[in-house]
Amino acid sequence: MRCASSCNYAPPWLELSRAFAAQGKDDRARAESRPPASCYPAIMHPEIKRVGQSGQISIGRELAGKLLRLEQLEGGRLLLTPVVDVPESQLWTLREPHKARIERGLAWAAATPAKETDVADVVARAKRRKKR
Amino acid sequence: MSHVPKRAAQRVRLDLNSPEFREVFLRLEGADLAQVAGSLDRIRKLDWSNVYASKGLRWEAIDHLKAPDGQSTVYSVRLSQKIRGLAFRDGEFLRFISLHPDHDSAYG
Repeated sequence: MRCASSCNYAPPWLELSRAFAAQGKDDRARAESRPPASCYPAIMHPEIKRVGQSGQISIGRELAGKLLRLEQLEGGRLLLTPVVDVPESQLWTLREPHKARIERGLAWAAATPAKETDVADVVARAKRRKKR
Repeated sequence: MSHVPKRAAQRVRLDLNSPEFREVFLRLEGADLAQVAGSLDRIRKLDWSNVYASKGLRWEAIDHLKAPDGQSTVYSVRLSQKIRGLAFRDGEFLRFISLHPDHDSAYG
């Protein structure tokens, strides 16, 4: 089953809904097995916006200041995706092996309470390791 | 330097327990080890009111990263000529999450 908006994407949850519907277990699941209007899960009701003379639309104060990537899709649809801009001096943080180290470090910090380290002790351990 | 939080003066307590930090730190060689250890010792003696202004550490806010609390800024700190650490503030702690040699071939 494909998205009705012709993007040719088959959302995986549709397979489950269709299976339930086929077994006649759930009316709601049967209804959900119909092709969706769009494969993008909506979290707000659609709104109609008119583009102003200078080509601008307002999309809400909560997005003020955000950087958005604008893509034009088939059928005249437009897709806005929030993005971040990264200074050139920080691009290394997105490259391997740094990126994976940072992710692991942040995950560790999230799971571990802060504890003070004795710097002299850690340095001594590093020096002992060199002598081995 | 940007996004520097203003909080009361308080001694910086270093948390260097991250395995990602330790793994690289324990493999540092002579001059690199001495420089990184010196920088850490210097930070340890500072308080939060002046740590961000400390010369040579070159604090840089990494805006696309967020600390585990989802709000605190993650900073890049220059610990030696060749080595940067990533850290964030957690109360009175400066928690280093990882250590990054500029040229990873030596310690990667």
